[in-house]
Amino acid sequence: MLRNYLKVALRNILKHKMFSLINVFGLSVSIATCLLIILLIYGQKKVDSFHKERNRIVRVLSMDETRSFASTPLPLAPILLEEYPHIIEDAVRIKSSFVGGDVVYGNNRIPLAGRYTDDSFFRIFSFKLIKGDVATVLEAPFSIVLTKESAEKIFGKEDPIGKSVRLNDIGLNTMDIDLIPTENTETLLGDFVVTGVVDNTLPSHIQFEFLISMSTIPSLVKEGKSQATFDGWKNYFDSYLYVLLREGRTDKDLAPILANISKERYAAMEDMKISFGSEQLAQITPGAFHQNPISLRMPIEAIYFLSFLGLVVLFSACFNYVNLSFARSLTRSKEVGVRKTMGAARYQVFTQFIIESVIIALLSLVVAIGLLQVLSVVFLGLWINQFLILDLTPDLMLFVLFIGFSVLVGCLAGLLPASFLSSFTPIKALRNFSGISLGNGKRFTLRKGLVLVQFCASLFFIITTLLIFSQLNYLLEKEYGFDQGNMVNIKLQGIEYEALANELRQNPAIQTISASSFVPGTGGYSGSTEIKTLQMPDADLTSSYIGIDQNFIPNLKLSLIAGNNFSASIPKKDETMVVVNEALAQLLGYKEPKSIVGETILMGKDQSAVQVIGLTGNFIFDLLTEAEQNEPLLLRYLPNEFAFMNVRYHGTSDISSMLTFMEEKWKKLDKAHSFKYELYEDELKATNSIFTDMMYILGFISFLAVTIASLGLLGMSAFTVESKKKEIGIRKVHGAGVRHIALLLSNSYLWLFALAILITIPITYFINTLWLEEISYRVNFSIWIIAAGIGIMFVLGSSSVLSQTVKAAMNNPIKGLREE
Amino acid sequence: MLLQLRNIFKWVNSGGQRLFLLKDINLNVEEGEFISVMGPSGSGKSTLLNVIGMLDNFDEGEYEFLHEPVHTLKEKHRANLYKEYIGFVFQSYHLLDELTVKENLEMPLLYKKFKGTERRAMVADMLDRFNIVGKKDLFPTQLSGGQQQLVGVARALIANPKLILADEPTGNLNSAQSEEIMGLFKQLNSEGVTIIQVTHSEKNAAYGSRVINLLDGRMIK
Repeated sequence: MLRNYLKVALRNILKHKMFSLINVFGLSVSIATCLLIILLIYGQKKVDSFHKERNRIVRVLSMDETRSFASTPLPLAPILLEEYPHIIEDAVRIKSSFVGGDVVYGNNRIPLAGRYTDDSFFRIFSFKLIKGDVATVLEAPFSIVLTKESAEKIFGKEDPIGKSVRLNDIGLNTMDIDLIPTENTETLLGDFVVTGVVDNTLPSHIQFEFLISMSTIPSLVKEGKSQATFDGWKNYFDSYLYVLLREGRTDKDLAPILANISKERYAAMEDMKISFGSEQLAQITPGAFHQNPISLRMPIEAIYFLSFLGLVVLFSACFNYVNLSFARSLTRSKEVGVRKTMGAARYQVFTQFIIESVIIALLSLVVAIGLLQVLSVVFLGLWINQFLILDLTPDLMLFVLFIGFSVLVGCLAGLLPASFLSSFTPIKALRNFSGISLGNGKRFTLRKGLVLVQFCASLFFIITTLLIFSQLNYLLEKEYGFDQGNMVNIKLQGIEYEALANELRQNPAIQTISASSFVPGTGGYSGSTEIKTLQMPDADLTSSYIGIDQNFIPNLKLSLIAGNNFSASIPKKDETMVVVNEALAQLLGYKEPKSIVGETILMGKDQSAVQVIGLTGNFIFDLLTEAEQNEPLLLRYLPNEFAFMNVRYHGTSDISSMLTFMEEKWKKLDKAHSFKYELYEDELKATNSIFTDMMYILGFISFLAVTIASLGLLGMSAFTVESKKKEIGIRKVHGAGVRHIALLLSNSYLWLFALAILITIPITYFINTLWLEEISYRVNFSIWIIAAGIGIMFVLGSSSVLSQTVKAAMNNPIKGLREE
Repeated sequence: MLLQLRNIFKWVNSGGQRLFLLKDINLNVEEGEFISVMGPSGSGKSTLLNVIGMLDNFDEGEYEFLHEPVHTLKEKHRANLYKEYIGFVFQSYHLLDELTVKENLEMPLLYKKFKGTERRAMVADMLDRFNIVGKKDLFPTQLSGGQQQLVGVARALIANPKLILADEPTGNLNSAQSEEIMGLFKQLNSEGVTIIQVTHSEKNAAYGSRVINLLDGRMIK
C-alpha cells in the first residue's frame, strides 16, 4: 500500500513540474532557515548539559525594582549552607571581577583571565579534572587550577602539578571583550601552586582560563590587594552563586528562604531594595538576559525573534502548497473518484495526499541540508556571533530532529488540501468535474486569505529592511563632532604611555599623539560623576567624564569654543581644572554657555571644587546607537586613567608600514601583550554592526518572503488561467482584447494587494517606530520608504501574475474552446 | 435474488419545484441476469445505475442487496457492501494516468486488504485472461481506447464481484472495439456474473437478457 502511495506521489511530483518546483523551492529555503534556528537552539541546549547534577543546580539572582542581576553578594552562600542544610546540599561562589593578568612561569609570561572560586566547584559542576584531586584541589590558599589549554601555553609538555606560577593582576576581562578598559595598574597577587588541570572543552556558560581558590582572598585583603568583603551585602556585582539542592527539593523550597534572607539583610538599608530569585541551570542557556552576566550568551529574545522570522517564511511556503494544491484539485479529482469507487475509504485517500506532501517536504529537506551548509557559514560570519559561543556541529540526534521537523512541515502543509481532496464524493468527482466548487465559498476566501497574509508579510519585511538600510546609512554618515580620519587608537594594556609616545614620535608619518581613558564613540566605558555649582548647591547633575591629556582636544580636532585647553605644565595630581562641553554648561543653567568659563563647580561625592578653564562644542562620545542628544561631558586631566593612545598620522603616509613600525616599538617595551590597535574610522563604522547584522538577516528574510510569495502568485495564476481557458476563448471570440482579458484575470490580485497595503502600512509604521524611537540619532520614517517598499512588491507581484495572464490572453481562442 | 428496488424516488429541488430524477422505480434483479438500461439523455439511466451501485442516495423507497436493506445501512457498511460485490466500468475508462496497467489492476485490491502475494497472483491471472500480459508495464495513455476499456473491465472484475455496473462502456469506442467489449460481457455473463449496463445502442442492448426503458425517471412498459 505504502509503496503504491510512494510511487504515485513520485510520479505526480515528476509530472507536475511547475507545482513541484515552486513548492520544493519555497519549502527548502524556509526549511533551511528553520534548520539553522533548530541548530542554534540545539547548540544552546547542549550548553551545560554535561553536569551530572544539572537538575539540582540552581543559580541565585539578585533583583532590584526593575532589573535582575546574575550576581549575588558573597556572604549569601555561607548563610544558606549553615542555616538551611536540609534544603541546600552544597554551594559554590565564583568571583570574577577582574582577576586577570599575566601568569608568569620562568621566562613565560602569558596573559590569561580566570576566576576565584570555592573548593566545592568540582563537586557541583562536572568539569573533567584531568589532574588533581576533586576534594582538595581548590582548598588551600594560593592554589591555582589551569585549563588544559592554559597549562600547555605556560608549561608546554612539562607536568604542571606542584609547580609555582606568579600572578600579576592587570584586570584582564574574562569575557574577552575590549569595550571595558583594562585598569592601568598592575597588582602582583603572589605565587600560586598549580594543584590541578581541568578539561573545559565541553560547552558551558562558565568560562575561565584558570581558577584560584577563594581562600586566597583573605590574605590578599590583608595585603591590601583586594577590597573584597565576605560580610558586605551592598556589593552584589562581582560574585555568582550556584547551589546544589538536596534530592527532591526544588527552587520552590528555595524561594521562601531567599525571601527571608533578603528581608533580614536589606530591610534596614534605605537605599537598597534587593531581593533574590533563582533559575535552574538548564534555564541559563538559552535563557533570559540578566545584568552583569557571567558570560555573553545569545539572549532568548534573539532566539524568539529568529524563530518568528523562520516561521513566517515557513508558513508562507506552506501557504503556497495549500493554495496550489487547491488550485490543481480539479486535475486530481478524477483520481479521487476512481479510487473511491474502487473501494478506497476517505482516510486512505487522505493518507495518500498527506504522504505526498510529506515526500515533498522530505525532498525539500535534502535541498535544505545543502543550503544549510552555506547559510550557517554566512550566519556565523555575522558580527554579533564573535561574542557568542555557538556550537553548530551536527550529530545523529540532530538529523532525527531535522527529519521529524520536515515530516511535521509536510503534514502541516498537506492537512488542508488532503482533507479537501479526500472529501470528494466519487459520483461528483467522476461525473462532472465542474461540480466541484473551487471558485467560490469558504475555500475561495481561504485561498485569498492566504495570499493576503503572504502579501502583508512581504510588504512588512521589505519596508522594514529599507528602513534599517536607510538608518544604517544615516549612522555611517553621521558627523561625530570630531575628526576620526587618519587616526589609530592603541590599547595601552598597562604600558608606560610616555615611553611609548616617545618611541612613536620618531616616525615622521606620525603627526600628533594624545591619550584618553576611552575612545569617544566606540562604546567604551565612560565614568560618571555628580556636579553642583556654588550658586545652586541644591541642583545636581550627573555627568559623564573622559580622562584626557593636553593633546587630546587639538588631536581630535574638537572645537574649543571658549577658554583654554589644559596647559602642558598642568600637575599630574590634585585636579583643579576641567574642560566642559556646551550641554553641561546649559544643563547647569548658563544661558550663555561661554560664561561658564572661569566659574568654579563642585565635582564628585566629596564636592571638590574645580575651575572650568575651557568650553568645547558638543560631540558624540557614546555609541552612536545609544547616544542622546546634548549629553553633558566633563573633560578631565586624569593621567592615571589613560587606557588608549590616539595617534594621528599624515594622510599621505603608508599605513601598513607605519603599523609595522608601531608594533616593533610596542614589542620593545612590552613583551607579554600583543599590540592591539584599531583604525578609528573603521572602528566607528563597526559600532553600527548590529544594524548591519539586522539588515542582512531581515534582508534575507524579506528576499525569501517576496520570492516565495511571487512564485506562489505565478503558480496560482497559471492554474487560474488553465481553469478559465474556456471563458477566455469565448470572450476572445466575441472581441475582447488582450489588455481586457489580462486585466480581468489579474483583477482580484490587485484588490488583494490594495487590501494588504491598508493592513500592513499602519502595523509596519507602529512596530518600526517602537525601536526607532529608542535611538536619538535616527532617520525619518518617510513616506518614500513606504512607497519604495510598495513599489518593489508591486513590480514583482504583477510581473508574476501578468507573465501568465498575458500569455493566456494572447493565445488563439480556438485552442481554448476545442478541448472538451 | 441479487437485488430488489421498491418504489424508489429521487429528486432535486430546483427553483421551488421538485424535479424528479427517479420516480417509483421497482426492479428485481436475479443472479446471472444481463440487463440493459435504455432511454434518452436525461431520462435517469446513469442515476439509476449509481443508486444501484450505492454511489448515490435516493430519497424514498427501499433497496435490498443480497437481503441487506441498503436504505437503512450506514455509509460505512454500504461502502463495504459495494466494495465486496460490485465492479464498475466507465464510459471514459477512468484509469489512473500515473499508474501502469498492472498497477491499475492492483489498485482496487489494495483497498480490499489482499496480501501482496495474493494480489500478484490475481493481477497475473487477469492479465492472462484478458491477453494483455505484454502491456502490463505501459501507462494508459500508451494504449488505444479499446485496450484501455479492456483494462477497465479487467479492473472491475479483479476482485470477483457478483455484479458489474457499466455506464455506456462502449460510448467512446469504435464499432470493432465495441463488439469486442460486448462479446466479453456476454462471455462473463455466461460464466455467472450479473451485468447491468446503460446503453444508447439497440445493438448493444441485444447482448443482454432483459431491457429496461426509462423516460423522465420512470420505467416504461
